[in-house]
Amino acid sequence: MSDTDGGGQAGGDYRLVAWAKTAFSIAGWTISSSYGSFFGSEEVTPTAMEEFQAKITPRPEATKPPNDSTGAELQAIDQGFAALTQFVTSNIASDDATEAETRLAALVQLVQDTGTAVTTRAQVSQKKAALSTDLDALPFSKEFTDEQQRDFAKRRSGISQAIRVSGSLADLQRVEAALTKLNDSIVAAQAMIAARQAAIAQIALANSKIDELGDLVDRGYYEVLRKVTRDGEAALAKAKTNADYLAIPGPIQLMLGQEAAARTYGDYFDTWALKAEGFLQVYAPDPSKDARSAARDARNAAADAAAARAYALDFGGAQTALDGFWNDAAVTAFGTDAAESASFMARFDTFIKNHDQKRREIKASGMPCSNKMDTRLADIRKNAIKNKNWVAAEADLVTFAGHIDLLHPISLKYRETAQLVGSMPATDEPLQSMLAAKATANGHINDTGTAGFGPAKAAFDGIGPAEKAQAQAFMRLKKIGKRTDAVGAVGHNATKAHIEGQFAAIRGNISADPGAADVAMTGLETLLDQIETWMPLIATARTARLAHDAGDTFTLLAAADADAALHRYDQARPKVEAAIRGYTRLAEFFVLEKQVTKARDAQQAATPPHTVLSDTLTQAGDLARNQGRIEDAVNRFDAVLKDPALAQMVHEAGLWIKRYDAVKARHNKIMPDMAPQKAKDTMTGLFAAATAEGEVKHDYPAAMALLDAYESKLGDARRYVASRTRVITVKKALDRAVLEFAALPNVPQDIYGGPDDTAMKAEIKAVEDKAVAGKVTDAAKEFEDLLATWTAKLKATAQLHEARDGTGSNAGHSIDRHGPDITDANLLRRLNTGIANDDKLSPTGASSKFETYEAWLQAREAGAEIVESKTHPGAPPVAVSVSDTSIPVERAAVVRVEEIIDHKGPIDKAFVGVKRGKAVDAGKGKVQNGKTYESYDELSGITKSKTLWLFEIDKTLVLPHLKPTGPVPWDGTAGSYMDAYALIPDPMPAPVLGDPPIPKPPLTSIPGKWVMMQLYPLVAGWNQEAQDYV
Amino acid sequence: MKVNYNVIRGYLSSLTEGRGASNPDTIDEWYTYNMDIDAMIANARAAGDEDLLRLSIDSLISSPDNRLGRFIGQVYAYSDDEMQDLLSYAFERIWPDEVPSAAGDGIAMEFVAMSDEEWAAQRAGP
Repeated sequence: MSDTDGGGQAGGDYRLVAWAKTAFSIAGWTISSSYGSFFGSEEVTPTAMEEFQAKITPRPEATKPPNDSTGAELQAIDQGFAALTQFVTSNIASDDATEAETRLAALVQLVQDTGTAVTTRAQVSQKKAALSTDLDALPFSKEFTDEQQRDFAKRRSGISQAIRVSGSLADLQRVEAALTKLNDSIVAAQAMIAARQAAIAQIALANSKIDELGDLVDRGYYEVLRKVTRDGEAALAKAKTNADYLAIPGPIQLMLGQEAAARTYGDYFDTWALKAEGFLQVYAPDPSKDARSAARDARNAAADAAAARAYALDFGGAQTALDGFWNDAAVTAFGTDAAESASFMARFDTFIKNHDQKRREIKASGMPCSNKMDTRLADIRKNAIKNKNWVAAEADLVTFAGHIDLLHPISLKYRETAQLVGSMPATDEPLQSMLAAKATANGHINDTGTAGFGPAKAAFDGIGPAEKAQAQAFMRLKKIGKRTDAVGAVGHNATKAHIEGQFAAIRGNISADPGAADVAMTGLETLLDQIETWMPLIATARTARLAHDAGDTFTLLAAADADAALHRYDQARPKVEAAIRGYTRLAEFFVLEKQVTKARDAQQAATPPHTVLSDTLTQAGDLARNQGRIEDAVNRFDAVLKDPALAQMVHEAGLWIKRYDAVKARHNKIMPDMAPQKAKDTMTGLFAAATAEGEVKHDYPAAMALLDAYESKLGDARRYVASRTRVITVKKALDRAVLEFAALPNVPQDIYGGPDDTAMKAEIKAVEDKAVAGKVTDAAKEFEDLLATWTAKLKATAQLHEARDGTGSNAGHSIDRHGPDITDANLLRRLNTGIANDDKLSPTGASSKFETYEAWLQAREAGAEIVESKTHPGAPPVAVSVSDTSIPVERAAVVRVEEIIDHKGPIDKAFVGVKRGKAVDAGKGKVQNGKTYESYDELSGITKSKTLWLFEIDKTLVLPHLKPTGPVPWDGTAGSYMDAYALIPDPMPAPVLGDPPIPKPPLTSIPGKWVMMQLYPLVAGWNQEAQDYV
Repeated sequence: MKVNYNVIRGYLSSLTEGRGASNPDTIDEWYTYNMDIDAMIANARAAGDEDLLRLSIDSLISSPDNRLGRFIGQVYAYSDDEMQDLLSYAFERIWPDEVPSAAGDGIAMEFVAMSDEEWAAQRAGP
C-alpha cells in the first residue's frame, strides 16, 4: 500500500497512530486496541514498515554512538542509521520489515561493538599513560658506563616507540615486560656504580703504591702487586655484572695488606745484599764483567729463590732463602772470613743509615775537608776488602762516624756562612766579617779533627749578631729573589716585575733601616705565599680554558684576572677555583650541545621537524651564553638525554661525533705525507663522502659504516706513507753510500745490486704508478715487499756506515745494540744485567731495537740530512756535510746535532725497565737503586727514533796537551781543541831526538769526521695502548 | 709550581743522551759533558728558558726525592747520585756565581707532562 492509497488525511492519521504505538512499544508500554478509536473513527491498519518506522522514531538510544567514539565510528554509526531511515522511508508501504529489522539489529550490534572498543581504548590509553609515567621515572645517571648508557638509551627509545604504536592491552603487556626488564637492568647498573667505583679506587690506590714502593720492597712482592693490579684493570675493562666488579678489589687488598711485611722484608733484603756484596767483592769477584763467579751465581740463585717466595707472599721463606746463601758451598769454601765480612758490612749498613746523610751534607758544605768524605769512606772499605782487615776497618768506621758527628754542626755553619756570603753585595760590611771568619775556620778544619774544630766554630760564632742579622736579611732577600725568578720562569712576568720593583728599596734598607726592610720582606713573603698558592690554580684554569674555551667567549677568568692584575692574589684564588669548576661544566656543556645539535639536524631532515631539540638548544644556549648559568644549561640537556623518545637519537649523534673526530684526526695526521696527489685525492674523496653522510645528511648509521670502511683504508694509507717514505729515504742512503764508499771494490754493484740505480728507480716507479691508479692497498704491500727484497743490500750498506763510524771513535754501536738481528733475550739481558749485545757494559732503562735494516738505514739517512741542513757560523756561513773531514776554526762551529726522526710507521720493539734492581755502591758501601732493571714492560709499534751526530775531532796533533795528561780538558768541542793547539810550541820538537825542530802546522781548519754517535728507537713518551706518543 | 716535564726532560736529554753519556768508560768524568752542557743552555737561552732551567736543576739537586729517575734518558742508566753530581756539575759550569740551594731549600717544582699548547697557555698571563 502506497501513501496515496488510503487518502492523505487517513494515511497521516494512521502514521501518527503507528508512531505512537511504536514509541510506546519501544518504551515497553502496551497500548489497547481501543485506543485506536481515539485517533479516528476509522480503523486503519499500518504497514509493517510503518510500524517499523514508528519503532525507530525518534532514534532509539541503542542506535546512537557511544560517548568517546572516534570520528570514524561516529560517522559509521550515523551513516548506518541514516541508511536505515532511508530504507524504511523508501519502503514505507511494505508489509515486510524483515530487512529493516535485520539492518537495525546490525546497527545496534555496531553500536555495541563500538562501545566495547571505546572501553578498551580507554583502558589502553590509561595503560599507555601509566607505562609512559613509569618509563619517564626510570633512573637516569651519567655514572653508568658508556656501554650501559647507550644500551639504556636504545631500549628507552624502543619502549617509547612501542608505547606509542601499541593498540591493544596485549601489545602493552609485552611493552610492560620490556619496561620491567629495562628497569631491572638499570637497577642492576645502579647497584654496580658503587662496586665499580670501589674497584677503580682500589686500582688507583694500588698504582700509587706501585710507584711508591718501587725502591722499598723486593722484586717478588713488587711483581705480584703489579700483576694483581694489571689483572684488576683487565677485569675492570671486561666487567659486566655487579659480581664482576665486587670480585676486583679483593686480590688487590690482599696484596696491599702485605705492604708492611713487604717493607720489613725489603729492609732485610737490603742488609743481606750489602753483606753479600761485601763478601763477593773480597772473596769471589767476577772474573770479568761478562762472567760471574760461582759465589755470585749462588747469590743470584738465592735472590731468585727469595723473590719467588716473596711473590707468594711468604716473606719468612724468602728470608730463609736469602740466608741459604751463607751456607752455599761456594761461600763456605772461604771459611770464617765470611762471617767477619758480614759483620763489617752490617756495621757499614748501620753507618750508612745513621751517618751518610750527615757525611753528604759535609761533602756539600764546601768545607776544606769536604772532598775527603768520599775518599775516606772508600779507604775504609778498601782496608776491609782488599786487606781483609775487617776488624780494623770496622773500628775505622766507628772513628769516622765520630768525626762526622763533630764536623757536621760546623759544616752547617760553614755552608750557612757560604750562602750568606753568596747573598751579599761585594761592598757590604758583613761580607768582610764573613770572609774573615771563613778564612780563620779554613785553617782549623780537616777531616780527622786534628786541626781542632774549636777555633773554626769560634770564628763562626764570633760573627756579631748585627752582622749576622744583616747577612741573613740579604740571604732572605736572595731567597725572595729566587722565588720571584720562579714566578717569572713560568710566565708571570708582570707579577715578577711588581715584586722586583720593591727590591732596591729593601736592599738599601737592610743596612740603613733593618726594621723597615724586615717589614717589607715579610710583606713580600706573604705576597709570594699567596702567589704560589694562586699559580698552580691559574695554571690549571688556563689549561682548562685552552681546552674548553680557547676563544675566551665565556670570560670565566675575567674576574680573577682583574684581581691578579691588581696583585690581589688572595682574592683572585677563590675566583680561579670557581672558574675551574665552570670550565669543567663548560666542557660538559659543549659536548652535549654538539650532540644535541647533531640530533636536531638529524631530526629536521625527517618529516615533520621536531621542535623539542631546537627549543632545548635555544634555551640551553641562552642559559649558558647570556645568563652564565652553565650548570642549568647542562641540566637542560640532561633532560633531553633522559627523554625516552630522543635518547637513542642523541646517543647515536654522540657516538658519531666521537668516532668522526677520532678518524678525522688520524686522517689529518696521515694525509700531509700522502703522495702522489692522485692517491691523496682518492683518500680525501672517501673521507668527504663519509663526512657528507654524517655532517650533511645526518644519517649516522650509514655514515658510521662509511667511516668504518674509510678507517680500514686509512690503515693501508698509513702503511703506504710509511713504506713509501722509507723506500725514498733508503734509496737516498744508497746513493750516499755509493759516493762515500766509492773506493771499495764492487761498489756500486754491492750497493745497488747492479751497475747503477736504473733497476731500482724502475721498481719504485712501478709501485708509485699503482698508487696513482688509486690502488693504495696494493701499493703499500708492494713497497713493503720491495723493501724486503732490498734487505741484503741495505744491511750491507748499514754495516759499512757502522764500521766507518766506529773507526777511531766509540760511535758505531747502533746496529750492535739496536739492530734487527738482536733477539728479545739480548734486549732483556741489557736491561737485566747492563751488558749490551756488543758485550760492553752499557746499562739502560729502555732496551730497544729496530725491527728491520730498512728502518735503521732510513733513520741514519734522515739524520744525515738534518746534519746537512745546518751551517757553521761565520761570514759567510759554511754549509755542513757529513762527508766533511774538517770544520772551520770557530769556537761555535757545529759539532753536535741531535734530532728526533718520525718514521711515520712502526719501526721497533722494546723492553722498558719499571723497577730498578738493588745494587751496592762499591765506593760508598750502601744499597741503592742499581743500574739494572728487574721488572719491565714490553712495547711495540714505536714510530720515532732519536739520533746524535758528532764531529769527532782528530786530536792527534793536540793530544799531549789534553787532560788527563795535559792542562786542557778534552770535551769534544772545537774550543778545547783550539786551547790545546795554542799550547803547542812553535817550532815543535822533532819526533826523533836530535833532529831539528819542525814548524808548528798552521790551524786553518780542525780535522776530523762526522759520526753517528747514537741512533735508537725512541721510547720516551710512547703510549702502548694508544700506539702513539703522548 | 707546575712545570712542563717534557720541556725540562728535553733540555736535560742534551746531558743524559749526549756525548758524555755515549761513553760508559768515562761516564762520571763530568768534563766530557761540557759540549752537552753548552748545547743544553744554548737551547734554553734561545727559548727564553734560562731561569726556568736554572731553577729546575736547582730544585732537582736540592730535593732529588726519587725524582731524578724520570730524567735519566734512554742511553745510560745513571744512578741517582750520578744524576745529582752531573746536574751539580752542569749548574756550576753554567752559573758559577750562583749558590745552589741547600738540601730541601730549592723551589718546590712539580714536573708534569703537558703539551706545548698547554704549557704556552699556562705561561701566557700577567
